Amino acid sequence: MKTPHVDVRNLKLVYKTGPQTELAAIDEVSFSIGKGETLGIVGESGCGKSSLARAFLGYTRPGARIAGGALVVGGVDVFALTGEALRRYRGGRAAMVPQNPLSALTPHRTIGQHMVELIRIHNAAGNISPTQKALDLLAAMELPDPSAIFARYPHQLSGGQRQRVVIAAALVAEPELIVLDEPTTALDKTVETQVLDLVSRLQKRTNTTLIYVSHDLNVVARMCDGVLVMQHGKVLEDGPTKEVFNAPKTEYARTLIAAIPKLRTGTRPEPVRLATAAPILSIRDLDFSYGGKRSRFIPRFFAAPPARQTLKDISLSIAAGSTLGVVGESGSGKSTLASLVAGLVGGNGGRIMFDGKPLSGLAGGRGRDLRRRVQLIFQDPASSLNPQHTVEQIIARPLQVFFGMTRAASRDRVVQLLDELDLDATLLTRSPRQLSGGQQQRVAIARAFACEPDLVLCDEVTSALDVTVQAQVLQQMKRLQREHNTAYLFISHDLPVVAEMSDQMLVLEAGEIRDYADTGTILTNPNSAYTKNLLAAFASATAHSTKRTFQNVS
Amino acid sequence: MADIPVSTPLRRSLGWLRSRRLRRALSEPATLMGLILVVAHLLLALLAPLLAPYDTSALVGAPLQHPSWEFLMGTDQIGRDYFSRIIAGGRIALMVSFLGIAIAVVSGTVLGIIAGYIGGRTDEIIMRIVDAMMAIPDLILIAILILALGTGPGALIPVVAVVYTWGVVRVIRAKTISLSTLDFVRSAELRGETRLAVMVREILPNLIGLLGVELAVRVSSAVLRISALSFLGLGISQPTPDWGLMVQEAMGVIFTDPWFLLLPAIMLSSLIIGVNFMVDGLSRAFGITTAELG
Amino acid sequence: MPQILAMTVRRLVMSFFILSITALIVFLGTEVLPGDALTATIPTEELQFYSADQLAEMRSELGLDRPIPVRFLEVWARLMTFDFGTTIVKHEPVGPRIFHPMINSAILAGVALVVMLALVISLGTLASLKPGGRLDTTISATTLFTYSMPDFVVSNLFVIVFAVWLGLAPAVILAPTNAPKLTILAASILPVLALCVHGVAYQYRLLRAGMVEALNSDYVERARLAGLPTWRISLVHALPSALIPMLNGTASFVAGLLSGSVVVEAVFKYPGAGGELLRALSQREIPTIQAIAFLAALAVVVANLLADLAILALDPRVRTRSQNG
Repeated sequence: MKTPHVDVRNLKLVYKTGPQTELAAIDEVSFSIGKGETLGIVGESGCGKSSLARAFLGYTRPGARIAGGALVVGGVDVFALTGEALRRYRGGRAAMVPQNPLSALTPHRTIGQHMVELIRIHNAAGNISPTQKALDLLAAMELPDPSAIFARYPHQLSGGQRQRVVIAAALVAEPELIVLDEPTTALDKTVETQVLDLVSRLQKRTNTTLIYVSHDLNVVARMCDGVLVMQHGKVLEDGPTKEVFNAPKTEYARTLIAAIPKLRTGTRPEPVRLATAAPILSIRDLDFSYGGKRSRFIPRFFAAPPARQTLKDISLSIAAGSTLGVVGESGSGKSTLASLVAGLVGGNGGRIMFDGKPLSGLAGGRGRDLRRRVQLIFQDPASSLNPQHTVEQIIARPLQVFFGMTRAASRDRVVQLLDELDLDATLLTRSPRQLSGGQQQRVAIARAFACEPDLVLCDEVTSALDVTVQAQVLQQMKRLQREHNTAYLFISHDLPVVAEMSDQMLVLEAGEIRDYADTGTILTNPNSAYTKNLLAAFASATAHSTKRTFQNVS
Repeated sequence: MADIPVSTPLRRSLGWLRSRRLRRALSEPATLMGLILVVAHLLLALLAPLLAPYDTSALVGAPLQHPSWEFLMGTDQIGRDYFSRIIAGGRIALMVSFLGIAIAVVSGTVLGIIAGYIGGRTDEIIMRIVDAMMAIPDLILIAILILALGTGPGALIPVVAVVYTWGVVRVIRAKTISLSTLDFVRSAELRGETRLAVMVREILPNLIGLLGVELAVRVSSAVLRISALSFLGLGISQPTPDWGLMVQEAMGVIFTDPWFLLLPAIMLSSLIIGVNFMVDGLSRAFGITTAELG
Repeated sequence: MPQILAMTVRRLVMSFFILSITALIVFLGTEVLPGDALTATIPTEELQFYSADQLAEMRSELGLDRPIPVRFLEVWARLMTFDFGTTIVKHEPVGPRIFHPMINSAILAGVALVVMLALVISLGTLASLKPGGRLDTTISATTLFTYSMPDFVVSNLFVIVFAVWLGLAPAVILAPTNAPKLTILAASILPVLALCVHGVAYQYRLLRAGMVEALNSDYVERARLAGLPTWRISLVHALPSALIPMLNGTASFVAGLLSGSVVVEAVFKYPGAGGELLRALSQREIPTIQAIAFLAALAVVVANLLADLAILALDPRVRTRSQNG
């Protein structure tokens, strides 16, 4: 067996948690990667994968230190490097593609300044000028009009363009190892597919070793030869991708893989229910554009430009107790749709009818009963729960406002609601900051259900959660829907999740409906090219797992 | 199971969390020293009349005596007991500053929350007044108002309140704007809560830590300004003991007895140092940044 | 760059409004709150020598019997055109009288500002090379200490140390207000240092807060991971963003600097506007007080305007935002 290109032996990395205490973020980890191979490191938040990613470049975050073990890249003992040698290794022999390109690019420097700086530092221009080299790299990343991109600031680019720029920046000195830290988390699925394809084409040409660090198992399944599954700083599984995904050895890996949202195209029983129920929400010819009217919910500097059409000719209806899923990428207007129905923004054209009554304007101008019956659950529970209130105060407030309950009466009801979401009554006195992300979102759901709503608008409610937690929360939401006969308007960019939850689906692009039908029909026989593309992007991403699902079923 | 709380060690009630942070803050020697200095100064200011061996304005001995058992810090130019005057020298400035700033913090918070949350034209009007008030150097503004209203505590308290309200407005408004972008405010609005309820129930509780820091920082800065004015002969006047005034009197004997200048200077500086070290440590522990305080 | 021009014009108009409100505050404080500018001007013990008729005549002569809004408009028009009028009792023109002291104070504040910025930026950059290192913690502790030192205490300590103990400088400055500006500049060394003790600390604390935020940012981590040298990260990537909190605090800072210079001038007997202000305050010379307060506010507003433009230059995101409104 040839010597591996990257070899990690008994790596231990600890964080200082107090004057005398330390916590191991990476605990005795060993593995190796061959030259030109692609390894995926997966695990949920807090498993140590991003500390590991940085360790490949001999870097620890402030407060952390390497407590033992060795890391060898191409024969170089990385932890033995210091000063100038370490600086030249970083970006020279090993490079990192950061997680969030918008915050990872210096806001006051142009793309060109970023690129030229790196080329100069690493003497990477060869016999052409650094500017020319930068333009060549940008062109190699298939960026349209490299010279225009060169002159722009990071915030003036789209998410996909920024991602390509940071990849180009990593390629400057033709490193032998590239670590990609959650490289596509911020991207739309269709853009992600393009970026990933580009990376694998480049890799084939240069025989670079790639390490993907991701919570997105679909990306890893698609891109990587081998997979490392991590939990609490330890490696649970290490093997070829197919093996790990098809026959996980540990319970945790099994749960993790089972929790991946999958596109199931099999027959669905639900439509029967749709025929009989009257619509709880129906929307006719909805039009909306920001900027027509000053709104204090939109940052003021966005308010002045000429009206931009956000939603155009939207018509839809949701039957009581059913779920309409809305899928769309960023900028499709899907969140605006929820905001309009919820009454966060007003001033739309067309008609929104709720249970036969018109629903329009801001929530404050609607009757109390309407405000109670339509509830919105926000994407980020860390933002939607007041950090200074206790869980009890948070859930009891709607009970007081809508049902006039006293404190004593509301206490029992709050406990009951917590119980419906499998949350313990001991959480009552906690502040949201003391809860995990999953618990927080369940408290937010409990607050919505405290109102006994007929329609719940869910805007990317599980996007901030780890996959296993997401799976739990989605199950609970389904159960609540059955028990309370509540309708959902379920909005997400994540097509498999929407498909999983919905009776009917609506595909939005640039404020217009591309497809609107039963979930089964959308998945098997979509009308528009856009939807077909979207399905293809998700289908290729879930190729491994889908295959596995069918194997399990048969 | 896989759903591990984000902050595993913080498992108890809020009060416990707070005291834990407090304890961590006080484990830093600088912060602890600051707190001790502040407490000592407050006690001294409160108890000065009981501790002082002589009446602060009585002529009890020959002028400019050196320290002795009879006069612990000697006597000043006209023969008053310096020790009695030193320990009482911060009382008026502290009291006036504290009450004035308390009013300023309350009114500044009300205006700041309104400007930040209601926004629009209301915000525009309030902020232009803030800009104008803060454009006049505070020492000059205080001097002008003192000229108009006098230097008794009854006049100084409203003067301090009027001058210091605007800085509070600015800090509170900025924080309110950043809080207002959070979804718990949207959630309350969707529930149909009144604007008043949103401001009082949702936003105000999130400002408590910041308000505490504002109070401390601005009291110390008001004490500084009042002492400076007394030093310039525009603030607290004879025969009331005041550190600023005492420094000014001591300038006359600076070549022969610099001691008389150093004592009140040390007293005043130690109070301000105490407040600043305490605030610095506490605001770091509670995650309030220097930039937020402006 | 039409949008930047539009923003600048908008800010100029805004500054004009702010100055108008400032004029109103000064007018209210000096002429309305005391009850009456005339009786406020004449010392109480002399007041008994005037008969009611005499006072009324003087009032109408001075225009003090007209309605408040009219009088405000007049004061406003005067201040905005830099016509500071004449003193009430002696009818001396205010403008020429405060001209030299104002210039001298501008020299003092200007030199102090330049020295401070140079010190603050170099200290901040040095400390940021090794955050949490010995240099960083030493500077932080020292500035927190000097931040707490009252201006008049620092000035007096300087007098004690440099004049009384070391005998290096005269205890007070003897130059007249209209002395050659080089003499004034030479005399300003100790006052400038005294102002810096507090000012550097104030600015440094804001710069450090900005530095800490910038150094914890993703883009600085990316720069480290890309193998950029530490000095380049501090200077080129972190510093421009780190300056913004400091620039945002310009108005408060300059106002504080001017407050401080009144005190410092008084200790060193520096021939500046501070002394002139104190004299005017003790003699209740309302037009002089109005003029100096207004000019101080003007300095603050102009400094703030310049800081706003500097932020525009440092942060392209603000520039783009301006395109949208």
